[in-house]
Amino acid sequence: MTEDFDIEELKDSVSVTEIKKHGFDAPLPNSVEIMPSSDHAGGPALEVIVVFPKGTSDKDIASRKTAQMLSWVQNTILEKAGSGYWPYVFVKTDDGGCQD
Amino acid sequence: MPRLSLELLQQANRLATNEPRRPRSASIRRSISASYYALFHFLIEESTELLLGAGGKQQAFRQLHYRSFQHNEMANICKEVVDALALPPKKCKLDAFRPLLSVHSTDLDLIARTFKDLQEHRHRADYDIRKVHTRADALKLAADARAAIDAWRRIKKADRGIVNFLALLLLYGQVVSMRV
Repeated sequence: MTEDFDIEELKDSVSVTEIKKHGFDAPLPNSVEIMPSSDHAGGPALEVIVVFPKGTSDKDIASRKTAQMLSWVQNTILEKAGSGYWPYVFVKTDDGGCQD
Repeated sequence: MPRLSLELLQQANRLATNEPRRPRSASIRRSISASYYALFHFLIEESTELLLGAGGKQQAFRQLHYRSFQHNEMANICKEVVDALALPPKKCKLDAFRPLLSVHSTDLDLIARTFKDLQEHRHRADYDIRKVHTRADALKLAADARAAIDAWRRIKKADRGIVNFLALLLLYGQVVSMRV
């Protein structure tokens, strides 16, 4: 499958500035990263990592308000890249994840 | 007796919050997996009840059909539903059903997207040991599964015909989309 989109343009379309422009407020992410990837079946996909500032509570990240913002991020990417490259959204905070 | 799907959803939240400081990777991975299976089982529980009847007499039929639902087929049909709601007319397999699907487009889109997302997250949580999963991820996915279940209930309350159709799609999706 050939990509008919530009990753940098995709990133710009869901940048923190754009997120703010669309009326979303705290908790706002520090950045949104997008990388070409593949799904478990080997199909083309995009990995979207939304990075929240250190100290953002888990409750805030799992809130309905954040869900609406993340849904907008996914929808914006779907509209531009098409569902042939499904954008899987992951969230993390700048202070890391779980104990391994 | 509580439904398996709701027990799984409770388990997902419990696993994500059990360790207050830094959660164990295994807990987070199992939580993510439980969120996917909560929605998977919810959709099948609802679909078999809608298609075959909810009574005790139909239990054997429901159990028989329970194993007919295929993970990948369900994800594929969810993608088709998202396409039908988003793409221009005539560019998707479910185009003929667009008027029906668009009545509750927001909730249908939420259910379909969430299922597809959760399935991929579950695969990564269960099999990709390189991937670091966070508590935030697990809590978000549990909340997403809950939101998708609520969305299904809203549609069911408003228009049983649409959830009946969705149940058929989940069971026979590829056949339905090939015939139109």
